[in-house]
Amino acid sequence: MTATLGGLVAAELIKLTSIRAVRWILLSIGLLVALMMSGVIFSGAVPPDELSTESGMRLVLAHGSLGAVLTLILGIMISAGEYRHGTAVDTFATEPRRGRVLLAKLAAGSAVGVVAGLVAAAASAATAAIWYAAKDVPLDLGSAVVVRSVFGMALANLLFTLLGVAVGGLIRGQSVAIVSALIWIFAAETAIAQLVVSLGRWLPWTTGATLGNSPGDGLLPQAGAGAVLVGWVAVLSVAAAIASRRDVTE
Amino acid sequence: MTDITFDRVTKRFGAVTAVDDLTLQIRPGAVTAFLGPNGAGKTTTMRMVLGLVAPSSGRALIGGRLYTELPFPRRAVGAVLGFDGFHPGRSGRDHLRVVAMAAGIARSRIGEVLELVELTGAADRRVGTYSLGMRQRLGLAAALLGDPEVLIADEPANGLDPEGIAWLRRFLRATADEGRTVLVSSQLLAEVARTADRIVVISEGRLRFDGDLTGLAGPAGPGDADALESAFLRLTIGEAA
Repeated sequence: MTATLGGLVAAELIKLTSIRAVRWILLSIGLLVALMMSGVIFSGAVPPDELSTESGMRLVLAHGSLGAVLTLILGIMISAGEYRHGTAVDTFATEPRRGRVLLAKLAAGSAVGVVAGLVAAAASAATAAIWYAAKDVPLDLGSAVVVRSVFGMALANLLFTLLGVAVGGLIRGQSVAIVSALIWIFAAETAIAQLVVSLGRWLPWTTGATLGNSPGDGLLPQAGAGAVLVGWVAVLSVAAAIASRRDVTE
Repeated sequence: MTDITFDRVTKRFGAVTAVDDLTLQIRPGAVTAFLGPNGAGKTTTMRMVLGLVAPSSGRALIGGRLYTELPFPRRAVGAVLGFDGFHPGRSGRDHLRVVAMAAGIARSRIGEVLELVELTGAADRRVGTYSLGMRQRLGLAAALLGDPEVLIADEPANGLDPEGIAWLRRFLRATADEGRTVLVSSQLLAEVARTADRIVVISEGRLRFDGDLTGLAGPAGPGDADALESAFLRLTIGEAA
């Protein structure tokens, strides 16, 4: 009767499958991706004659990495949700070695992140196929650009789940963690990128978009952006492991 | 049999000293009541036993070991720290499945503890629909999953109706009679007077009294509720005032 790492991971997976919120978030990822993509095509932001160009295809498909906003929140819920609901007491009373709990959460986050990535990729590919057919523009779902976009955005969604797990471990207040993360993505990172252009491409949200094959000038190569994002996950996870030693008073 | 030992335990949160040089041993086979007003340091002390809060100095030990060093923490200690440690969207049974899975406890034990706390009928409902009393029982069920030697409960009578309090009293008595160590906190002397074998009073983080009801009541005898109450108040708010 001891806490094995496998048992801890399985317990984290039960936590995720036993509440409805997780299923709603996964569904929302699909809807968000489909809506944003439809918007960009329907509004004419990408004109029909550009839909068939490589940059046009990349721009449309890259909206799949927007799901990462929601996987980030999901990841934060995996960690900080324990303090919001007071379940941290049971979790750490069962496994007092907190680094192992963080590892289990990252593992469970990977599993749900893969699912989220598949949802985003499927929603993105399906939405593209429908709109391209409606606009009578040929789209080869097996082409290199589509495969790179879809695979990249799936990975971006996965990595942002893990980023969320780390952020939620650092900032225990769930609402504060979510609001901080959103401010970072939609305000701080944009501001930094505009002030110091060369710095922007290294920042997490931008590397996620680049990994999702989003077109743009001066960005890192897709694989390089993925590697940098993995680095962000690693750095923040180590920080979360160190911060996990703090007293549990909630 | 497993005891809890506090060895000169102090906990400071910034400028506030929550627990001040506490030395105490809680023995098996008895119900020990941990009494004190709000903010006396009861909860912090219990969290230190579980390794959730690290003492500023001193050590809290279970059977001579730090909680973090226990090979099977859930078999050694079961704890209920309040009635709000649940996700409202998760069923009671799923909450227990999570704990059992993480601790490596057989699934069959879930049905047993649900029976023990008389919650089987509501086990598949979401915790958000539970009454306060049902949450207390679910907390107890989780604490009992590992069949622990030590049971720690922070204000377990909180929110219970008279029937629930009577049930809790019988339950704690039976648990101690099995030879286990039972430590229960309360703000109210009357709540624990009939159950506790030993009374430990703390206030402002310091040990004020350690003994049985007779010792607390003094010459008037433990049958005198007024004498008990004024003795308790003298020990807590009396000294602060």
